[in-house]
Amino acid sequence: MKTVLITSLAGMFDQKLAEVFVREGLQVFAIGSRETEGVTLLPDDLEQARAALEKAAGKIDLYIDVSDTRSGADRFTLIDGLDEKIIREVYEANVLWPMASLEAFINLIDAGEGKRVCFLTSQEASINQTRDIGGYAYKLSKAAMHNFFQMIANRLTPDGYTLRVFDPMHREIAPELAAESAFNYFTRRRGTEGANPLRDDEARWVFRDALGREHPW
Amino acid sequence: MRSVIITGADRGLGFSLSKEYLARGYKVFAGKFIEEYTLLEDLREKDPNLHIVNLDVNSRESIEAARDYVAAETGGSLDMLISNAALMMRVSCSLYEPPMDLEQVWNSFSVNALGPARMVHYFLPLLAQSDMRRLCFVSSEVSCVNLMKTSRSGGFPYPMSKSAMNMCVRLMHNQLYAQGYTFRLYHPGWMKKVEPDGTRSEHGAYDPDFTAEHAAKYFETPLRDEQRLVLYDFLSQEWPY
Repeated sequence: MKTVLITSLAGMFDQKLAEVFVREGLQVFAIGSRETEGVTLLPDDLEQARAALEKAAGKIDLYIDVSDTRSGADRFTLIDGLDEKIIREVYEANVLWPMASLEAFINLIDAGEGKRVCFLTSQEASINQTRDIGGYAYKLSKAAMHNFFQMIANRLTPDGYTLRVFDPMHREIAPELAAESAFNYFTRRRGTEGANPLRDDEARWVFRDALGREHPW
Repeated sequence: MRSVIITGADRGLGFSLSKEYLARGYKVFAGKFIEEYTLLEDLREKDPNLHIVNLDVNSRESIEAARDYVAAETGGSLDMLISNAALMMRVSCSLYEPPMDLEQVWNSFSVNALGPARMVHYFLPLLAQSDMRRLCFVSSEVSCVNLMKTSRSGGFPYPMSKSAMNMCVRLMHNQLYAQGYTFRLYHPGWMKKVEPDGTRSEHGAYDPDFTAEHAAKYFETPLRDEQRLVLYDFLSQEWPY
């Protein structure tokens, strides 16, 4: 049975995504304490979570980091001055924790057959597209992660890995729809089914949103 | 007399830029951070328009003190700000050799991405008094996600911080361009390291004096398309960040 790890069930999108994976018959693990039918919960401590998952399944086929923290206080602009406490909190949640989590689970993903790693971002964190004047904490954290995604893709793709960077379109479309879209994008091969090498699209480095649109970094 | 502040001016590009702007008749405020380098002190003996300011872009107090000094020396205005200071360390960040030193990831971000924003925020009242209002940021090719073709053998923090800095400059541009501020992003190329006695290392492709000469022109000269935020290098080539 294919195993999937979802790093949190705190958000509505995360829960809906877990429900889709349970419905589709995968073995679903998630970190945290929010009970969801069919999902095996893991402790918050990354080392304990890794040990528990290793004991229960021994591998991860699909690793989905749903870290996508925003703060209601993240509205300041440069003229207002930066709230560095908020910036640090969001950076920890969107950058430092995901790096630590990937490091904790990488050997279990190596042991799986899927070798796919998925992350969330959003169009507003595209340097080329954003026209906002605020949201420093969120946008800077994701801009840093876009480069991290690319660097780990460079490290992992020679070992057979594929990566997904997905915008669930938070507050723009219903989390149920975003979860279905994410499930399709995370579980299928990009390009034609049957892995026709002439039409395979995995080598191209993109981020897509829940409506299937691609955005520049 | 035009005025400019340059962060991280102890050596390398920042020091070479200080020389460039002195030669162009500017009053230069050179940010000093590294005790063991005395190139700035030697330069000041030759040119009284050089002002050495202790400056740590990771510290609000340090930036505010520098701003007060500049304001006293210029009568409350500043024409150009050049954000050049950066932390460039390699940290243990290999996925397969735990643990990653995440505090280094934060430090790199705090200096390289937030430092420029702190500088602009605290110097804004002085820049607002100028008709030039030029904001310049030293970025890097490694900030370009599409061009990042290596895994950096674990040296994640620097490229991440430079991508975040580009985003930071983008947000500033979105707000401040309408208020008459103009922006420069610059990729200086792989520069030779300058030792405390002024000699150059073997490694590196370009002498900082060479890339600073180009940068000084690019930072100072008005562009036809100021509304675009573009990352240029020392050959005036555009990089897709």
